[in-house]
Amino acid sequence: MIKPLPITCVPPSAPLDSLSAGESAVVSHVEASDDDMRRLMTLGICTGRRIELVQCGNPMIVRIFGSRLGISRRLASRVMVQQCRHNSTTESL
Amino acid sequence: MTPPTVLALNMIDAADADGIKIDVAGLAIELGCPVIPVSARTGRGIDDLKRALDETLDNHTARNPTTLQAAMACHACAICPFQNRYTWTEGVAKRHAKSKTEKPDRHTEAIDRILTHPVGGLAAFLSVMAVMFYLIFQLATVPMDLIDHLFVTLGSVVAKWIPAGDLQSLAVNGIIGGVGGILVFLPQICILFFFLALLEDTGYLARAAFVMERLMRRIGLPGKAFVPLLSAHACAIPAIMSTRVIEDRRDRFITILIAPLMSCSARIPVYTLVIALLFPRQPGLAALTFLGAYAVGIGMGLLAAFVMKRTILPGEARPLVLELPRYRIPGVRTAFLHMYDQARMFIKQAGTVILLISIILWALATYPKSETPQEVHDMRAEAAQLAAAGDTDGAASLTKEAAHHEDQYALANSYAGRLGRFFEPALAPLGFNWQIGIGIVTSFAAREVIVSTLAVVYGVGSDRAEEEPKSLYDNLRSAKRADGSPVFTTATAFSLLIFYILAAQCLATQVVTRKETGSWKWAALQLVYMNVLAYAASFVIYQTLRACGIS
Repeated sequence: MIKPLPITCVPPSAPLDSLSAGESAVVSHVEASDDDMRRLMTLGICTGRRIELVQCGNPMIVRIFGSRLGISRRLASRVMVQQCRHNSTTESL
Repeated sequence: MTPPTVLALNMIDAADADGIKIDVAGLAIELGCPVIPVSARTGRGIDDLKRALDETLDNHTARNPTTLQAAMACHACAICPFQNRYTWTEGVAKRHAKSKTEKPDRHTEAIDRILTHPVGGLAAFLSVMAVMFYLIFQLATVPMDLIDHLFVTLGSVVAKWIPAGDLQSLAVNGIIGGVGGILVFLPQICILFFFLALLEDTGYLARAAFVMERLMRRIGLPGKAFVPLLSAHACAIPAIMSTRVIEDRRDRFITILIAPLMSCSARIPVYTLVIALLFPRQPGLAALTFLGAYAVGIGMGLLAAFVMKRTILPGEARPLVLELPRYRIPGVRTAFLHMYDQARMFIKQAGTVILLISIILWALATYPKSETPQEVHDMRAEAAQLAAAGDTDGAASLTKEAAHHEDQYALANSYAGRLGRFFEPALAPLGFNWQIGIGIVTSFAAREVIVSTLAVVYGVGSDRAEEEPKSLYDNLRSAKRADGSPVFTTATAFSLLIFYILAAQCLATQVVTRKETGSWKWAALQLVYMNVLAYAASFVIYQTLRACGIS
């Protein structure tokens, strides 16, 4: 049995659009208007959720909770995330 | 207290296809309510769902879902009501759903790499739209001919029941003709919405909105506005109703305001007529002009949106966030249901308004009644003589000609004719005479009416124009003004084409705009800005062409 790699989240938080394709992060907070915040939340973008950037560009594609979302960069820049890193041997410590 | 609950576990077919096993019994225990796996698309499990609903209703001791209650209570959470729900949902999913495959959306990801690509995605979008519109126009011809034929037959049957006179004319020309003239576009609308529903179900429409977002954002419109703008190429009425998918009020209102600038089906007969006058023997140029007419409509629409976004409804487009669902085989059943809903809405919304407008315009073109001119009496007398002499063919054609002369005379003296004459000074700088003015006035029932109006005004009767459109084109081409110069010069024809691309003439559209925006203000704005735009553009085109020596 291979044990899943432990994941640690490293502060500080950065906007979602600063990730590169394939990277995962955890949403730390969202700084958008109430309306936009609600739209993001109903689609799953919400504090504490894990999010993966699938495809860069504007709009970009992210994966969250098994579903794929298209999101414009302007909105993505309002979503602050803390990047997760797999603590592989070379990277850690 | 939560009322007794039954959980319908939808899209179970998709879960099966992906190899996701759901422990329905375990889920029911955890949630504390019956769980019925269903597929709305295929109809699977719907009977079980009905049975479960009946049982729950009959059985008053049904358990209330305790966990669901707890989950719903998250409304009270101070930090984020959504966060707890998502954590809870994730937990439930982990406990009761087992997936065999690591990444079930592998195919979706591969397809999306092409369909959401900045270049490839746009090429795919244009191809899909081209194929769809080709199919719409191809498939709609037969049912459209059928509907047309049906209303003509209905008209002649009713004409037999009701004695000749105003009532017959109202029933046949006003009501049956007017309603038939709009219902003839129903097949196109149905097919369009059928295809859109299929595309939606495959998951492609979300990608199309995603791709269009890149382009439309520059103008200030959201990518989602493309569906209404696309539908507007069949008819602006269902298009305006379908703007409800746009979340932002300003974005939605601008889409509503510009939708009627897209070339709808009712403009096609007018384009065909004018282009036949312009390029009778150059099919290449004719096809190019046709495409050009569509491009002008789209271009002006986007320009209008650009200007409005910076003036009356300022603000950036609401940024995009939308789900890109898994691709799947579309369900024909749901597409049919969706199409049926849209068709019913179109008939309900447009039907009554169009009926009213048809009756008003019929009255404008019929009243006041004028005396039958002496010329017509002479022709009828001559026809009677011919018939007495045994020349039935000659008599029949002369009678027909007399009837047409009478129609022409009556129309010219009707309120519509007077309005045409009244507006002639205003229309002259666009190259239009009062006969074209009548055509424009009657177009307010529906644009294509100008074709039959011109057929009555110029030479051929409206029946003959339908049987052999060439005779109408020939007559229009040889029509002369009072000073002997031809009416339909290149400059006039181009001016008329531009006018019909841009003008707001379908009053039913304004009524729907009023309904959707909740205020006559927007409907009035739509009517005024489009007609001012049409007038200005026709003026520029006509005067420029004349100045360049093209007439």
